[in-house]
Amino acid sequence: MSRTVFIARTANDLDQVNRIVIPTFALEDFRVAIGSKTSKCYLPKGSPGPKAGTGGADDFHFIPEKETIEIRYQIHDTAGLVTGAKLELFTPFKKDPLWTLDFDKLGADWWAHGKHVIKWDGRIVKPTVEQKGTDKDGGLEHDLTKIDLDKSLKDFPEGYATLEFPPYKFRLTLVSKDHAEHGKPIYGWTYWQILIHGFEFELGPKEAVPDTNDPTALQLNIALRKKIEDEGGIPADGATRKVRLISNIYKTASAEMGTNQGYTEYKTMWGNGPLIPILAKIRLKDSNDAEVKLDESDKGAVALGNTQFLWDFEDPDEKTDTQIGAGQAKTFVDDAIHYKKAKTDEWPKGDNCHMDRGGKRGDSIKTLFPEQDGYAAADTLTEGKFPFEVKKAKKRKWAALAKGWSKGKLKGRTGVAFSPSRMAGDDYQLTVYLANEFTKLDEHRLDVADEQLKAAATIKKKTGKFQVWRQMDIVKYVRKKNSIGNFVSTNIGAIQANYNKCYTHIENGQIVNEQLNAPNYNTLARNRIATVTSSNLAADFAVHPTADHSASASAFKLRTYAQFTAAVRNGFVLSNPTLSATDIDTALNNWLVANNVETDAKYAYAMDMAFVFAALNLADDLRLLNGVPNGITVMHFNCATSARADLAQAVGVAGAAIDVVGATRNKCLFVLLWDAVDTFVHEIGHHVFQAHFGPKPDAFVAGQHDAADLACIMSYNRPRPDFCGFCMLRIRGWDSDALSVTSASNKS
Amino acid sequence: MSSKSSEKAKQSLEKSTGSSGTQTVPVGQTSQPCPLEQKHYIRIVVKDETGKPVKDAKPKLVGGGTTIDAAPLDDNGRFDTGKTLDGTDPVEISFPTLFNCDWHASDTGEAAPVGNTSLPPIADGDCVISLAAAKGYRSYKDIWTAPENNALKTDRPSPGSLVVGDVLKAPGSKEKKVTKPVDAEWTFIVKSLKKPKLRIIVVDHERKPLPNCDWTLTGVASKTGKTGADGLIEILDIDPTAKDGTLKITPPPPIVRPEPPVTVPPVPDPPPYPMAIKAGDFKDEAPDTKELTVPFEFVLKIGSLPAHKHKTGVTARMRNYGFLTADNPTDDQIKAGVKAYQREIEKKDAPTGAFADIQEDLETRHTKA
Repeated sequence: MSRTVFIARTANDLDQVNRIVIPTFALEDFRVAIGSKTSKCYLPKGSPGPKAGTGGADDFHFIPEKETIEIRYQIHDTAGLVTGAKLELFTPFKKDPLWTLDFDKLGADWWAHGKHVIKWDGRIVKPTVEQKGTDKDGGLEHDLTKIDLDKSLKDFPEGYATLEFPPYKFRLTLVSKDHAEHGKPIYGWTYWQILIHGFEFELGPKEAVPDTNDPTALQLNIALRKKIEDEGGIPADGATRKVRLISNIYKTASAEMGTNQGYTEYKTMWGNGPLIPILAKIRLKDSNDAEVKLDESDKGAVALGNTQFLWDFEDPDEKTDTQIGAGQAKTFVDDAIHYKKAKTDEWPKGDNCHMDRGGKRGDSIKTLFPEQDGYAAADTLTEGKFPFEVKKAKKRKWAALAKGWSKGKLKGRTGVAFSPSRMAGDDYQLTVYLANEFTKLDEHRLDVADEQLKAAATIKKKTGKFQVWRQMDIVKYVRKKNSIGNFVSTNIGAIQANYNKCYTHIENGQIVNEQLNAPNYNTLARNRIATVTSSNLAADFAVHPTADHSASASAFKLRTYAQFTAAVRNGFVLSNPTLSATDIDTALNNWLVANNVETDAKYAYAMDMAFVFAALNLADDLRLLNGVPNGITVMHFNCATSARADLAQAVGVAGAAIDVVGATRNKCLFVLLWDAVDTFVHEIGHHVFQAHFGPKPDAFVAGQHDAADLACIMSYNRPRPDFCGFCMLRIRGWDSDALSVTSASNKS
Repeated sequence: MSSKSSEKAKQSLEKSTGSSGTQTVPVGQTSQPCPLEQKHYIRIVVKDETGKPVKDAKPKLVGGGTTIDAAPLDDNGRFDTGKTLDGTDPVEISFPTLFNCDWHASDTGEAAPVGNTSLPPIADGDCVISLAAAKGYRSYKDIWTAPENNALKTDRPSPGSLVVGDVLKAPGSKEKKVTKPVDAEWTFIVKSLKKPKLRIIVVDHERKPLPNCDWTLTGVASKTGKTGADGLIEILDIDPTAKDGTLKITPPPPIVRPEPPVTVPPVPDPPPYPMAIKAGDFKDEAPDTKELTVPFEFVLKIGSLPAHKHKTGVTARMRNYGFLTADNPTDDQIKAGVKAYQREIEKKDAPTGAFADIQEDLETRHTKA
């Protein structure tokens, strides 16, 4: 390089000099700023300190589109050696810039000697025309906000810098085509950020419930979403929200009791679990650290871009002591839920139902956050399509990475379709993390198999506890007569308490709660009576031919014991007209003893035994399930016969889970003959595939009960306060084939 | 000759060591009269104002109507006729090649220059120094101190910086003659010929001197050296009329200050948000940076620095000082350069861009030693 300078001769007696400058150029300062807040300027080693000082912060931040900042730089180039400049945007671990702004098109003003300020709102642009600088504060001002957005870069889909890549490194490089060696330094850099302020959860709209090509499942999930919404939506940390899976699944034949059919049917209905749209509203920090709600703000959501959010969950310890209480059932459940809890290669650890027993714990395939394709942000949602793209995390296989929407109806939000296990009693706490920190190229810092993620509170938000429950509905309760007390209303709490221990909610959502209205009742009753009396003389004597059965609260109106004995005596008189009264009395007594009806109590019991099946069949004849929705229907008689009812005699049949015409896999009927909560619970138990346990009654299925718990409510061994632990787990939905009747064996 | 000067000449004669063929007469003794025809001599000594002999002056002596060839002067700047002069008539002495203002007899006062002649207009590369040399003046001051130039000097305060087209007045006469008695030595003072110098201070972009830089000068002189601590390159006794030169400078290697050791504090649990910047996480490759290893070449336009009060003088200094690059800058370029100067050097927040506003400051910074 050669440069002409003008030199004065100095007379021998004078001392004037000629000062000449070796032409150089330099980037003297480079940073971003808003007001008095600036980022920090970095210059290469060996460079003088930044012209504007060493102050500034590496966490300088702003919200693209929402705020306009200044890119400030100062160039020394009085010699005019600089012929261009470029601004490059980098992110960690990527060698190539995400965006390069070449100043060539913008013109020489942009690299002229002196101070420069570029107004910038985070937009990505590709200038095509010159833009002259304007004088301002002794320098030149430029304005990128007047240039159209460039949305062609896949990293910046909305044409703005996004939350995906911070910390950003801005590098400004001066170009001198012929005199590059005269630049010192020719480049500088600074760091800046887009920072999150926090999250707020919300339940996704019903349109976001994914359709898995199963209309029934879709409707179940929509109903579940509505239920969660009605009960308060996403639980705050510290609170619990029940996820009640409607599961009116009942036996269709008595033979199914004591089998694993309930597990199979529940699996068929709920598969890998429900799908609940859970969203997180994203809030960013503006340059003053104030919260900006992207979902509400008119600007700023574009900063989401392709930012990913890690959705993770924990499996909190089940509180069996409070849910079940002390006793053998708790012990049995504890042993079962602690199965493989300490297994070292399964994450996350916990006590939800293990995959070996039909649950999702330990199963890296059946993720809680199924992958979703998502779709382009829109102002109108597409029903049945989950809006956000969700991908399985690489290493943290139980977690997922989701994107958000930068615009449209769900702008400023991300989310997942949460799919907990269907197993009642399983519980989860979800945490959403901002996942824009990397440890290597394309390796999220948080995408690791460590159980506990280390993350600042700002970048994460935890929900309360989602606790899976089953729900069965009592949809119809029919009392023979209103003289029968409303057992369900009176005792629903106690009934529910029993099933609550199985994380199963018995919903008293009766749509019919009425007195039986059956005009042909007497006809039906007499038909059923005939099947009894034809082979049972005592029963025959017990029934008055013209008795009005419909008027009774019992299934059948029988003679009182006095009337019965009188009828029998009269029978003897008619058939033995020669016998004395004494002989007739003796014959009567002998007959009563022989037929085991010599007392009113025995009469009541004998008739109960004689007519109970007729009563159950009569209940079937009434066709009570016609037009009834899925759920449980209860026919309540005050005993099978008035003879027992008159004595209020407890001994006898209290109820029966019968299979009636009109029953389906999803609706059932049982007959309540005696007011007893344990009976009510027991009969529902039968319908949900629970078999008897012994030693009473004689016929029981030992393989479906905790061998050590003889007080299972499915036995006749009173008192029978609760289901045994085995029953509890079966009702919860567990695979009974994978359980042992020996509690300790279930632990490992 | 006044009585005083006569006496002085006598003393000079008495103290002399005598001329060839002349008997030495000790001081205080009576001279021995020569019985033969008496011959006479005259001796002149030419010195500069510092007493150094001047050998290049060409005196002309005329005695008794006869011109005496006096050149060349000997190494002591002396010429002695010896006792060759027949008469006692005084000898007429002159320096025909010198302007009147460039010499005088030691026993007379120096005559102030009078600018009675117009010199040719100043051309590019000219200055008072070069012009004086070219025109045969023993000193630039012959021109510079002529009162006729006082008006011009108001705007041309430095003899090294004029403006193209300037016209100077200069003494025009070489006719001066003096008459001195024979048999004595007479001393004449001729202004010394002092060549100008080049004084260049090399500065960096912050206008700080660049010390210890190797330099090579060609053209006006062939020299090499290193800049001093003050960045100065000084070349004495240059050809006063030389107008071109090339100065190559190799800047010293940059001083790389040791970076303080980087201590990486342990990452707290949980890590802060945002996490501290880890420069090593950024994998972008630094732009190619070329070191300035080849000498930088300045083409010297000697004598072409116009006076600082003239626009061209401002722009030339701005170029030297790194605030202007174009050979023929437009007004806009000048304005921009002036503004840059005002901001950077004068630290003015509201630069005017008017060159007149910086000319004095620029002159001081550019030219003052």
